[in-house]
Order: sequence, then structure tokens, then C-alpha cells
Amino acid sequence: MDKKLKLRGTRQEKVQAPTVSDTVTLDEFMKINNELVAAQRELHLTNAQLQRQRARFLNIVQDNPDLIFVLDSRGSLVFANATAHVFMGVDQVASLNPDFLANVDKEIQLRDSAGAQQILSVKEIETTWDERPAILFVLRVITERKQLEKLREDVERILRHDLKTPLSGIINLPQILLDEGDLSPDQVETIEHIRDSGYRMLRLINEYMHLFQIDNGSYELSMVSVDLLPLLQTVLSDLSYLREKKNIPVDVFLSGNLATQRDSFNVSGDMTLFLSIMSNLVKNALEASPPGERITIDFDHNDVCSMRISNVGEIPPGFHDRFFEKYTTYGKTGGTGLGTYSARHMARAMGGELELDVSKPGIIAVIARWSCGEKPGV
Amino acid sequence: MIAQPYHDRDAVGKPAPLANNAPAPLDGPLIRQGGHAPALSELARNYMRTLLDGDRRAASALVLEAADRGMPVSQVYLDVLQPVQREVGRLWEANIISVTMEHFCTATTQFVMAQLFPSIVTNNKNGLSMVGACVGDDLHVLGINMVCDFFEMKSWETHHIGYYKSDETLFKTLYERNADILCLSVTMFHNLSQAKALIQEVTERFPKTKVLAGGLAFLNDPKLAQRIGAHGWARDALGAVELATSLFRSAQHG
Repeated sequence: MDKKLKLRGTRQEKVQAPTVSDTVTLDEFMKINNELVAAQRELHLTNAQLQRQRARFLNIVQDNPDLIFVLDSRGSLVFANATAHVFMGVDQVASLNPDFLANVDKEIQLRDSAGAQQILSVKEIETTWDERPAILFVLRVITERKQLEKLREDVERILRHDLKTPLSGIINLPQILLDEGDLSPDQVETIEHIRDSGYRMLRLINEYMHLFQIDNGSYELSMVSVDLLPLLQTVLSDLSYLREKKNIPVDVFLSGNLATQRDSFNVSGDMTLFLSIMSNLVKNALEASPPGERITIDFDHNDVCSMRISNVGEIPPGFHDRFFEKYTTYGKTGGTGLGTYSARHMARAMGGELELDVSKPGIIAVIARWSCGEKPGV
Repeated sequence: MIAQPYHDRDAVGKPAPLANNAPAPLDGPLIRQGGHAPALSELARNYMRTLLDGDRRAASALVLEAADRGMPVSQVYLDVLQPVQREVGRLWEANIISVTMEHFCTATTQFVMAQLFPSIVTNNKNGLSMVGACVGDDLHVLGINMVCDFFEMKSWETHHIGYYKSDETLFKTLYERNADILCLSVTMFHNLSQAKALIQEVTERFPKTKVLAGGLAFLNDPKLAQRIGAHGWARDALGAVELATSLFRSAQHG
């Protein structure tokens, strides 16, 4: 009986009513069929998902700007990504002797496909390839970074040696002239001005140096207990020319009372950085303040020690968020835009923080907070 | 919601009578033309004739070749497979074909759907997930399979589990799939009370999951779906996707 006849026959069965066992068998058949259908559907979806994941993985690996190589446990190259092929050239990768990766240190020099010598960092990671041990090598072109590092070193050298060495003459020779005497009062004033300008330049160079060192992580903090009040006196003295020029009085308060010579205010930190921070912030307030207006400096200690420097002035709302940004100035000409930036950078290096407070109309306040050192004297 | 192999509807969607009082003679024309059923397309008529001739390979080839020639899979589902399965169900209910033949036709259509499925899988998903299941030990999974496939065509993450061994199996799936929609198919009326209890537990345990109900049990009285706690009801696969999409669109805009 052919298939057609068989199935036609099933119509007769229906008419004759199937037995219970026939129905159970048919139902079991349909159950199996249904499960297979669902399983096949799920398998296909899983395969599609695997293909999507594979495509994602390949995109990430192939488009990665780093050169990626995988070597099996025998040292044979089993994978090189597209970046490696572009960098080295397809032929060179195909004929690559993986030994060049063996025993390499953290850096390696290779010629790229254009023939240019490049410096690459090498990272070696243990992995598996087809369930067998393998090594993943990630090579990153760092030629530009190396050139930048060289440039930074050059700048540091220039600041440290090429500028500071002649500056010692500018600072010290006027002092010799002053010591020799026989100068008119005008000459003394001029020579002192030359000497003081030299000192200011020296502080500026030192500040740039510190900022640079904090940036590259080479600054070594010397954390001690520092009394900020004598430091403030030094800063105010250094900036006396600006105060006098603009006729700006400065009031210093300690816990709400006018500070005296006997007072102290100790915080934990690096004295050199504190000097730079206070110098920057006080100078900034003096420059921003209108002539004749008062500046107040409040020292206080609650959970943390704080210094609040307030001057009369306004900052446009759009500028608030950028107040501590690099190369940002407002309302003055000739500023480097590094004062508040470097102050906050240095404060953070010591675990402190600087904030702008413009909640009181017409008043600009910068608040500095640090952990307290010894209990502040009152 | 569920495309029912046992029932038909007329051009305005009115369900056909549950039984045909005048079964066609065995040697007469098996495919009803006119009457309550919408006319089958030529491809659907040929597919059905080949099925009833017992030629699974030829029947499958007819549909798959039409898809190869460019007929959209959604059209294959809506214009060929769905009406043919409804007609097959009607013939079985009218005692014109045997249950064996009905199972044979259903299995062949499932085979055709499985062959078409790879072409509807979408890679750009819309971030929504659905699970399709039949309540209880219901064997009529073709409809819910078709529903899942329509969701797949509309870029949903889909999971068709057909019937499930226990409620916990379903809950585990809803959790693993982080389901936004559960489509429940109820064919047999005696499964309605089980569906009601299930929906209640799903809405308690998975508050974000919307439950859409469908299937033969609701065709005559769609309000039944609301009475057993479902968030919505749809007559067929296309309606289910549209309803689910509108539910989430209104949720986004709300």
C-alpha cells in the first residue's frame, strides 16, 4: 500500500473510531514532535546568538588598536588580529617568527609596514586556545607617548637647570650689590625689586615643577603638621606690592575671632604645597577684588580644618563649573589660568579639596578643606 | 491570539461553527470553497491537497519554494499555513479526516515553519522579551509557535516553550528570560481554571510581565481572557504582536 493509500486509510480509521491505545500513541508522537520543534527553534536561536557574539568578539578584537597575538604552548602563532596585519603587513605576519615575542621585556622596537621604527609596549597574559594553554600578547604602539615623555623630560630639564641656574645670578648678585652698600635709595629700591622679581620667578618655576611632578606621579609628599598662619604671613608679605597698589585690607579670623601673632592653625600636609596653594588663592582674591574692598580669610576647624578666602566680586553662573579648570580666567588680564587649577590639584594631592562658594550675592569665596594635624591652637 | 487548527473565521473574523453538520463525502472535494471560510489562496489549496495526499516532501517544497521566490514569511504564515491548519482542524472536527491525518498535517506544517524560521531571526533586537507557552498538557502548540515567530519577526527576544512540565519550569523561564510578555495559549476549556491560577501567580511573582491570552477557549467569548486575569487578548499571532507593542509603547509614553 503506498503512502497516499495509507493516509486515506486513516480517514477510515476515524470513521471506525480509533482505539484508546492508538490515541495515546499518537499523542505521544505529537509530544515528541512538539518537543523536537521547540528544541530545534531554540537551537537555531542559540546558534544565531552565538554568531552575534562571535561577530561582536571579532569586531572588538580585530578593530582593537593594539596588536594582538596568540601563541600556543609550543610557541607557534595561532592568531594575529587585523591591527597586527596592518601594522606589520600581511606577508610579514604570515612568515612571522614568534621568537621575537619570546623573552621580550616590557617594550620592543619594530618597523611598521611603512618602514618607520616604532616603540611598542608588550603585555603578556596567560590564556587558553581551544582549551589548551596559550599566551596572549598585546602590543601597543607607544612611540608618541615616548616622544611626549621625552618632551616633558626636556621641559623639566629646562625648568630645573636652564632657567634656574641663571636665575640664581639674578637673585644673588643684587644681594651682593646691596651688601656692598654705597647706593642711593633709588638704586637700593631698584636692586631690591630685581631680587624680589627673581624670587617670584623662582617660586613660579618651582610651582610648575611641583605641578608637573604631581601630574606624572613623581612628586614625593612630605606630610608633616604645618602651621598655616605663619605661612599666610609670608604669602601676604610677598603680595604686599599688590595689596598696597589696590589698597586692599586683609582680615584674618580664627574660629570667628581676629587672629593674633600668638595663634596657630595646624593641618596635616606638605609645607611647600600649602605655600603654593595659599599664594595662588590669596593672589587670585587680590586680583579679583575691586580696589579698596576688604578680603577676609577665615580659618576654622570642625570635622576637618578649613580656610575660607572671601573677596567682593561676581562670577557669571556659566563660569562656576569651570572655576578650577586649567587655563581658565575671568575678569582679569594676564593670568595664566593655572592658579586655581594648580591650587586644587595640590590640595587633592594631600587628600584635601577646594570648593567655590558663591551662595552669598556679591561675594566670591574659595573654601579649602584638609584633615587637621595637631589640635589647632587658639 | 492563537492560530487555531480546529476553527475558522469568516471575513470579519467571526468564528465558524464548531462542527460541520454536512461533512463532505470521503471521495468528494475536501477543501471547502466559500461558505463560512475565506477562500484559500491557490498556494494554500495546493499545499492542502498535497498534504491530504500524504506527500510531506512535496507539500513542504511547495511552500518553501514560494518563500525562496520572495514570498514574505509573514505572508506564508498568514495566507497559507494558518488557513490550511484551520481547514484541517475543521475537517477533523467534521469527521472528514482522521486524527492521524490531522497530526500528520500539523507535523508537516511545523516542519515547514522550522525550515522558514532561520530567515526570520533578527539580530537587531528591540530590547523586549517574550515567552510563549500552552497551558497544561495541551498538545496544540503550533499556534503559540506561530505567535512566537511573529514576535521574532518584530525583533523581540523570543522563547517558545510549548507545553511545560510544571508551573515552576515556566516561572524559571520567565525569570531567566526577564520576560516582558507571557503569551498563554488555552485550547481546551478544562484548562481555563488552571490558566486563571497560573496568571494570578505570574502577576504576583513577575509584576512587570504582561500576560496575553489567546486560543480556542477565548474565540467565542474574548471577555473570558479578562475574567481569568490576563492583561490582554488577541485573536491571532499578528494581533498579539500589535497588542504587545502597543502595551509597551503606551507604557513608554505614559
